[in-house]
Amino acid sequence: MTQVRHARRYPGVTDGCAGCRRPNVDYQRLPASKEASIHIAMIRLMLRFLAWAFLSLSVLSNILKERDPFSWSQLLPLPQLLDIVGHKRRKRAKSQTMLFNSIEFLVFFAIVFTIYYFPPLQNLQVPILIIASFIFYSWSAPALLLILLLSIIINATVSFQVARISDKKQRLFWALSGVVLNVLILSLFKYAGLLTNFVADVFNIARTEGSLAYLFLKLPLPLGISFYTFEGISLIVDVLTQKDKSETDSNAYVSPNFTQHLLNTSFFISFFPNLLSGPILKSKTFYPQIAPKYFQDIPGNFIFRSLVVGYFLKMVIADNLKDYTFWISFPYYQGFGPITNLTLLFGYSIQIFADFAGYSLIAIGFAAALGYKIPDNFDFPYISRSLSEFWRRWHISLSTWLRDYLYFPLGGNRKGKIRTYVNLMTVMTLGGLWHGAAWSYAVWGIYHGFGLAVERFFGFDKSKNKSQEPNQAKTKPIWQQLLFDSLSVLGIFSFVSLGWLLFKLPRFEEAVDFAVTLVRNYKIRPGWSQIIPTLIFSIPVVIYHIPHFPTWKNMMKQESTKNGQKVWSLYQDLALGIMLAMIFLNSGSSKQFIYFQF
Amino acid sequence: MFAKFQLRSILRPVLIFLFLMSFYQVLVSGGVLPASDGASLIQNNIVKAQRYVYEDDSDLKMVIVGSSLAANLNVKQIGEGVKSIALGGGSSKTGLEIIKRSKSKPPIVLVEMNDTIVRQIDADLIDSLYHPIFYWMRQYLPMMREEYRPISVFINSLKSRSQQNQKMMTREELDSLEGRNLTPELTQKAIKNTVEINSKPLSEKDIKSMKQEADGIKNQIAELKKNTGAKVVLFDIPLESRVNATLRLKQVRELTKKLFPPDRFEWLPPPKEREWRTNDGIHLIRSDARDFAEYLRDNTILNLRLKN
Repeated sequence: MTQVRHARRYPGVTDGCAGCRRPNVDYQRLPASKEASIHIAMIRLMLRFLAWAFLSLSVLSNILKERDPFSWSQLLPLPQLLDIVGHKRRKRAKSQTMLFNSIEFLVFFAIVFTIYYFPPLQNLQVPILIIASFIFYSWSAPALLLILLLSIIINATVSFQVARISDKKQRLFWALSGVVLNVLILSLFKYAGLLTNFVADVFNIARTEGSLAYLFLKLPLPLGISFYTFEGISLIVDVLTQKDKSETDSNAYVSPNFTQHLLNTSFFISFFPNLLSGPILKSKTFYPQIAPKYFQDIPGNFIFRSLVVGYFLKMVIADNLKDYTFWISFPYYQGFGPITNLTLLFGYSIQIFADFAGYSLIAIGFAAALGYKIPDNFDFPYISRSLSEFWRRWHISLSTWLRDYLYFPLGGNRKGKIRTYVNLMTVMTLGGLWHGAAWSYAVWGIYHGFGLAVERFFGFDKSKNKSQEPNQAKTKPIWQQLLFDSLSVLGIFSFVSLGWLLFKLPRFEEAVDFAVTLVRNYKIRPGWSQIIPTLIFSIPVVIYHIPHFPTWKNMMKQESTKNGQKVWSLYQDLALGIMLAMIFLNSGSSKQFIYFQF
Repeated sequence: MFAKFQLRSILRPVLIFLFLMSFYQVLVSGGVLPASDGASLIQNNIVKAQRYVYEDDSDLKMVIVGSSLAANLNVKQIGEGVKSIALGGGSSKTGLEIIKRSKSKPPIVLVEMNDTIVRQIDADLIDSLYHPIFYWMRQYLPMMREEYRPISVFINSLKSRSQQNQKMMTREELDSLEGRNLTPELTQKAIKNTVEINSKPLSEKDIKSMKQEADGIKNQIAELKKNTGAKVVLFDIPLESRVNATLRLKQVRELTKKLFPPDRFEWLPPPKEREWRTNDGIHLIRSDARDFAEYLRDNTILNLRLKN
């Protein structure tokens, strides 16, 4: 049935994969003339893009006239553009981004959804989603769309070349150039300010208006740049790896037609459900899914559950908790005692999880509604009994990205103990810096890297490996196991929560002052008006985690009956109904997602 | 595929949701659930604003707009028919904007000036208050209002059990409450910080920004007077003497008087000279806030009416 429908939609294309309905194109080596024409088409396209970008910049620069007449910035229109998309945009982007929890987004999605599944337009599903994604992205800052487009063109061109070139050295050169370009773009927009401040401080360079340092400091931070840049790198590396393995001309992700590949890459990088805050997609899991989608295949139950839990975590838990965890910002925490401050810090830990896991679940739900499966980003991280387990459960798409594209290429744990520790520290430090352009993020990464190294040194990571769960349950009495696991979970949660302090107080002196305040304010009584609401809003997250606690799971397995499953299903539906009601009745006031800043 | 199986699995949670919503609406409409003042600062702001927008205004005599300095005052101590839309972390401008866009038109509006006039309108709050869909929903479904958030109602019920009525407390009892959250050392440290911050003179940028924001307030006042005939009275909340004497605040007061000259704008005369006690140099402690509320009671509604 599927094949018949497919054949009707794609005459001339054989269906080699009935399950995923992916057209199996016959990849033949293209003749030299065809190859040359592709090169010309690519160059033309890039020239057109550059001309268009330059024209846009020039027009914008002419609109702006308030500049020092002798400033070097007159030579280029870039500083003027940055003035309008820079600082002002940072503020605007926050308030005007089309957020998942806004009416604008729901209307936008309803329109896109209707057009997307409208039968006469079914062959245009990918272009429809690309246009929708561009509209979604440019909603707050249209000028920043240029950077997204630049990223798409670079990654499409490089991956296309890597897939086509048969010479290994040349292929590696293209791939390396692509990765370097991606890193350069990310560094320019994300880290130029940090490095400029550092260099300017060390060499005493002025940061006056019109200077190069000033320009770097005013660069805007495009939303989602950390996410889509990593996706671009994943595409190039995946294509290179596949090519190196097979050494054939065919490639699973790269169409022989550049226009088609550009279209697919545009879709992959700009796919709006995960564009702003992930999960970070990997080309090897996303490209094979690009195929026509049908309304009747939508997993309604899965979407409903993802959206309800996602919106509940974001709007009810995170948005309410932020009204209380606000008090551990500088200098407010100085007025509270140690119990209040610690409760608020643990509350912040819950908030950051609810905010990001909520966003990820919503993204997964909307992607599923469009027929795409994007990877889970969280696997109940706060039940982790070791730090390595935490990193297998927290921001999975980033940690697996770092593992696959950084830790393994660096040698992973295959090159001796010392090298393993160095690799861990390197990966975690860079992972920390990925979160933001501040040294405190690097320190946060080092903190986790150090924790992982210590854990590895003492072998704690192995003793709590997931695969050993059933054996452990058998060898130890259940109460002992439960106690041991609970203490481990509490320890890891405390370690991770202390780390989040650097997210809340990114200036070291403030973080240190917070620690000092814990001791200094011992006389101050607990602030119940902060503690009670923080606990109330944290409890649902604790309950959310409990059924996935390994010891609990083992106990439940032993006692599971058919009747028990029915009761469990009823509990789940009851919880969903309550969560849905709470979304309407008890949503908080914030609209911003914490991870947007990254 | 989607149709039967998927819908059936969604049906049960949706029915539970509908039941809970209907039940809650009945509880709210039936007056079974007490309204809360909000469990957090932000919620408290929203509750105040929504109450002003939706509640009956037949007895309204006076409205206070301002920042957390004025939000510290208990309006019940000022008198009947007095409402406050002074917002913690907010500004007088937001309050004036709410009055302008609401049906309730008070005869007297007290506008806190101090140095918070540079703060801008809270656009997020205004947008959420007057969002066409949510405005309508809150109008006809009171359970959607901030004051009926289930968790806030629950927290408030816990609070009301543990707290005595502060109106009936003596000064000493009220002062003893301050010590629960703050030590004298912390208060002194906070005051020292405030003095330090305010010892720097106003920059050109500050002056420019103050003038701009003052123009905005002047427009709002003019519009209010024109449309409703309300009497608008400006006032300053007293501060700690050390903070009051700082260079920046002296400059702010002088500039404010220039921008809002007493011959064109009505100013409430300052209370008698005395030492005002604060938590951090600017926020009055409970007993002194009560004193100032009583001063407002004695010098606003009655006096202003007599003048009329």
